[in-house]
Amino acid sequence: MKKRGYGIGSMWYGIGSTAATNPSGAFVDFLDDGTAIVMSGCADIGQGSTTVLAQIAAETLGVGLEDVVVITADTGMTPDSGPSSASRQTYISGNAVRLAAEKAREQVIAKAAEMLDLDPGEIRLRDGQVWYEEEPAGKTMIEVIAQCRGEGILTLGHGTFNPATTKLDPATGQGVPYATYAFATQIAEVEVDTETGIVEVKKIVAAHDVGAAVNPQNVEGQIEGGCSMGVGYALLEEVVVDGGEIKNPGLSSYLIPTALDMPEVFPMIVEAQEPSGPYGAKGVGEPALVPTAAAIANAVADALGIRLYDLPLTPERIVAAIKAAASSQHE
Amino acid sequence: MLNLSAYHQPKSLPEALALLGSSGRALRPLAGGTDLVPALTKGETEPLGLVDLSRIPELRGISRVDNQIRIGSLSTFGEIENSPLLLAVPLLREAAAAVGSPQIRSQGTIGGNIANASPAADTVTALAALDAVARLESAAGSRSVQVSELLCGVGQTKLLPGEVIKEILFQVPPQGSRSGFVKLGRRKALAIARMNLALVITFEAGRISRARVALGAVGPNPSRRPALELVLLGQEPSRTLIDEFAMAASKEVGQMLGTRPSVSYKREAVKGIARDLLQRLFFGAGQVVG
Repeated sequence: MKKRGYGIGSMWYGIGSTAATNPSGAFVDFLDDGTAIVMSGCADIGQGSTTVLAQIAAETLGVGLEDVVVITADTGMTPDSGPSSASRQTYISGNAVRLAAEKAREQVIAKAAEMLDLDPGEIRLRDGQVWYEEEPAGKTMIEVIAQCRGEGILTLGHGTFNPATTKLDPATGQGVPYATYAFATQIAEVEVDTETGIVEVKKIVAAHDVGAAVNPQNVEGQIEGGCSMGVGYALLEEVVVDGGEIKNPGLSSYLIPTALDMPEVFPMIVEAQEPSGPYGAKGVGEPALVPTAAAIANAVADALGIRLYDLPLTPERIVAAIKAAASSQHE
Repeated sequence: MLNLSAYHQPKSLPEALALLGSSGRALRPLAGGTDLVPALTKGETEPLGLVDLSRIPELRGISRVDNQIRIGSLSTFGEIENSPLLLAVPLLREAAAAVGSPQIRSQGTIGGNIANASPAADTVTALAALDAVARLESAAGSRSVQVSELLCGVGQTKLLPGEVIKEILFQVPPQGSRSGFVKLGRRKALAIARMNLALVITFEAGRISRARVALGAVGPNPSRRPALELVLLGQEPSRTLIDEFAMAASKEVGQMLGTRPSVSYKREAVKGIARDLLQRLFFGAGQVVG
């Protein structure tokens, strides 16, 4: 018999560790053709950080995304940005790039103010133009940068971001371990076959507070990818060790979900601006995975009326739990 | 590492049979290679060399003459899954579609699936239910053997040295038949069958006049289960009959597995896959969700 159930999993997760130093650096070179080069040590491992850093630089400099070239993760030429781990790169390296771009922008604004005889505090750069109040002020960025170059001024900026290190109490381990926190709730719908013990995840709705979604499509991709890892954690993934030897050391025996095993995932992006983040952004990398298995396990408990406490929820464990519940009812 | 001292790629069947016949078992025939190549790289088998059968036209193609279907042994799972000539045998198409992934189905062959003699070979369970016959060829001549008779244990066949499977032959099930295949795997693709079930049911005047039931991955090789066929014979399709069949399948699996550790799970799980398949064949829909 097939039974359907629904479950909820919620989580909060620290972004920007402050227990130890956590720095990232970036360089921005604003060139005389109105384009910019960003250099960051941030390694894009497929999550899209290079795109996000380009967007942050473009937004800060007032140029198009297509005008930004990002050079990343080359220890021969890029500054240290720390690891692509701990859901930190958008928050930490995004801030470093924002600060570096602001420094490069300051020089252009200072020169524009001098050329136009305006208050630099009122000048904005947008769409390749110098703006004063709400109107173009009559100079392009290219003209201003050319003027800088003519005077021997290079429009370079560097930035570093390191959330204030709080250190934790060595005796209790207590303190303020993170600069900010991400929040999420996911709901899973499952169908459980009470005879085969197979759990089929039919649908996942995943709502994530990311502060601000610098790139919504990227965020959705992160959420969907995290859910797929969560389905694996809930239903499949288990390192089998026998006498110290791993019995399933390859992806043919350590199974993860295939595309056919994934349900449709409905990501919901919640934007509660984080004041310390670049343009309000936090991180979503790991948070996307955290609540999935809990939501699925709760959905299975809802379907069967039996709660299992061991992951993964393999068919054997499901069948054994159903049998155990049936025999304890008879007693 | 591959350590081979010979690799032949004959262009005709007689050429291949001559090579294999003169080598004893030193040369191994190579079909799609999806089982053999990993076994070679792991050192699980160490032939002197290979005879690649992939360029031999006599081993390819799917055809139908009257009610007999012929499938060349080098036909891939993908070709079988998509062949319009096989619309009359959904169980075989479904079994082929359940193998591995699209890449494996483009490469792996039905002949290889038989010769590899895995307990979990998906198409072999369907072929057992179809009473399919394999035509074997060697330099010495040809003979025909029931596919289920050809297999004699895990990884064991009665193929003689120098003999290859040329083609597989079976009769299209009679008018009024419905058939299907269901696989229990750890996931929906790229998973070895933990159990599979193939059914051919023929209806006459609302009753089941003929039934073929085969189970795979329960015991050394897939096989027909006459006791389960008897449960269906002469009956009208009903929910009660599905329940009776599920219970009988559970008993059958229990007897086949004896005291093996997988018995307690598989005895239960077979009921679920039996319900899935019978529900579909009787009523054209999946199980009702409670």
